[in-house]
Amino acid sequence: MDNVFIEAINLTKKFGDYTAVDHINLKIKPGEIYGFLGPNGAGKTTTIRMLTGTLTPTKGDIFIQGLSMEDNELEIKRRIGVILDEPKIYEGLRGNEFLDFIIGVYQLEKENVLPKIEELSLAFNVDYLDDYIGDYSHGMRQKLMLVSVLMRQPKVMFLDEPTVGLDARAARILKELLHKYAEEGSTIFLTTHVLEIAEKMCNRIGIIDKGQLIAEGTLEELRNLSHEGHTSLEDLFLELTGNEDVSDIVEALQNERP
Amino acid sequence: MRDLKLLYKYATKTSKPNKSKGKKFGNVINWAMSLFFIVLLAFPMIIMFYEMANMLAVPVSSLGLPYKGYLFDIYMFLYPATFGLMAILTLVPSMVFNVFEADDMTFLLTLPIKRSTIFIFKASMGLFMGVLPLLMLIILGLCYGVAFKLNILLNIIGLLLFMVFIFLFSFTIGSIMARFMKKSTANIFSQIFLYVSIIAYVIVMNVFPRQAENFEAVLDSFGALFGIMEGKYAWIMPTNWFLYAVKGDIRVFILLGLLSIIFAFVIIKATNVFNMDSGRGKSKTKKGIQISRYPIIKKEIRLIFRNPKNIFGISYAIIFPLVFTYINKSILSGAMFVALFSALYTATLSIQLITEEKKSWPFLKLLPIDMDKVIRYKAFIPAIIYTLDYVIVLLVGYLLIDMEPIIFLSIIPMIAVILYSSAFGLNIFLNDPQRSLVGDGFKLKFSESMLIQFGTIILSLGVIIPFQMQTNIKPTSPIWYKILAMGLPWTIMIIAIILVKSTLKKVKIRIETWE
Repeated sequence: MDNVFIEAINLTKKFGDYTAVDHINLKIKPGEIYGFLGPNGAGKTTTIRMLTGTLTPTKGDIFIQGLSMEDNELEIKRRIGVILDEPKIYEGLRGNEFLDFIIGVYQLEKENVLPKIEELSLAFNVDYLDDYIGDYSHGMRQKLMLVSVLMRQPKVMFLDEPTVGLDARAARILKELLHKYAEEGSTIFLTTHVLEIAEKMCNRIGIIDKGQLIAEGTLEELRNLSHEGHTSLEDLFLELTGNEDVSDIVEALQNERP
Repeated sequence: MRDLKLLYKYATKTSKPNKSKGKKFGNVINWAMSLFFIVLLAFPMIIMFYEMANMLAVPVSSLGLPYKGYLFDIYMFLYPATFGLMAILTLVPSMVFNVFEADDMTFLLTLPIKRSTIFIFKASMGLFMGVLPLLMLIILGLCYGVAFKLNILLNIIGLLLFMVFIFLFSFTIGSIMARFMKKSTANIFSQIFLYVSIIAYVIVMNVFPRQAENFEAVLDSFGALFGIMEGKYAWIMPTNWFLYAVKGDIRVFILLGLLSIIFAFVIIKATNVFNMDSGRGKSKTKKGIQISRYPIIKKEIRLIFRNPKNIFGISYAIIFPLVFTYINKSILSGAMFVALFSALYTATLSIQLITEEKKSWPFLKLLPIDMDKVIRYKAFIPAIIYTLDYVIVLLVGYLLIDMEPIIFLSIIPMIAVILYSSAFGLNIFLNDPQRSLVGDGFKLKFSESMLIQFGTIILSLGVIIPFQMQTNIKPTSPIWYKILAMGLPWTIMIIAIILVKSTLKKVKIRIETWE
């Protein structure tokens, strides 16, 4: 178990009669960038929320760096870094007050963390820390969240659609940083709808559909699953999730044009 | 105009309707509630202004001053100058905030509709914030017209013109300020001025009528103003426009009409070249990061004092009881009001604090924080603030009037009541954490809000009234009176402590299971 940073066993989440996540098993090793893909409503965010301790699974176990989520929730939260798809943070605080809050909560050393904040702020163009978060755009909040997580350089990171709202420069820097952190031994669990990002960045990819993990492996392993001989991740994804009729739909729509 | 009509018809429906009520029935209730609220505000104002006008219908010339009007004219100068300004100060930031806060602004800007139409539509959504000061002015003007038997048609036209002028002037300033003001600053300012208007309303309604009973005092304080109110060019002075308009002065009608046309032109021209999807800017001051040893406490305190609603509650719980203590020269009403407000507003404040978590949910749950700690801070911080309010009012009461020192003992059981109220608020909110939010704040069901109000009223009165009774105990007082006066506050304290413990336990379970 020591060689696995993120482990989920039979992870299941039901909302009433609806099963959002259905017996998912995951094993992600140190240094891996794991891409977690799926169509809208497939269960990606629910899975991330369970793995990060914000949603209690209906069934199943979660281990982060060998620690059980059930028994060590706070310790796990201290070790991980999470960026959710919607960067919702206290609008009444200024950016620097938010970072001050995070530093206090994680009990970080001032001498270590302040230079990192400066570096990251410079890299992501975060020059608005003195303003109220309520005045930030989605992208500005996302960058602030990135700074607050990356300044700690956690060994396990969960990123739900991290590039949404980021400008091209910031997105590129984030990708480079994630690569660097993975090389240094961090594990990164990433969801994205931009399949190009997953294709270029991830060592392994898991595809979830209707709450079930329908495929998992390296890009090469996924290619072997294709009956149609698809090689691009986009074609593979559409084939595996049963959404291959895209071109038929477009053609039908064009025929209907007056 | 057609675009504006369309926007009012469709773009005002930014939230989904409540399915539990029939649409028509819900609308009727909303209208009836708004009407009831306005009548509730207006009724005492009508009586007060009318009586004041009658009381001060004294020709100033009879008091030896060279002014042709009446003594009441002083208030026709003072009220518009203060409330007109208050209305503008409330309306301007409220309009700016409404323009920038709009979630649908990006969408609206893609439509083939003029920017000025969109600005007017969005800014007009913020007009309700100025209702209180403007309502006061309308009632003041009408009461003046009726009391002094003026031409009522000209009186109404004058009032309307003045209102149009105030709105258009606010729109103009709003369209200019929107270029400089940030969204959060606009929100804070609009709310601050709204609450200042409410506090001013309370003071005006309670202090001015008493002052008006004494002609000499009025004359001493404001006699010098008569010089400004009359003269060859007095009608040009903005502070006199209200009085002259209400009296039906045609020169002021023309002036207000012309200014309104100019403002309307400026609004249309200025907003057509205006960047409405912004509301952001950069602070010029650099504050840096100050690492705190108590990050959660610091965060809660910052969030409390950044919300004008909370500042209003905290200051109102002091000001209102003090006004009553001052007017009645007795601590009883003051102590009762501060006890009531402290208990009630503590619940509101603790709910506001948990609402902040709801707005950023599930962020709190991602952090390595013990939920027990979170709950304790959210219950204790509001309780400490309102206990301080309670202590301040008692202290001032003790220093200003001869309050019996025994009343200070009531602080001990009140701490328990206030703390229970805080925990109770958290518990009510977490009973349904998925509840919808209204703008910046929370939304309670009618039954929940009644529960909070009755619970806090009964407990706080159960503490303060027996203490007042204690000050009246005589050797001849019946035994039940003595037992009630001496025993009830401490019984309530014990009950409140037990309730605090059990409620905080429930709250902890509820926040842990909140997904």
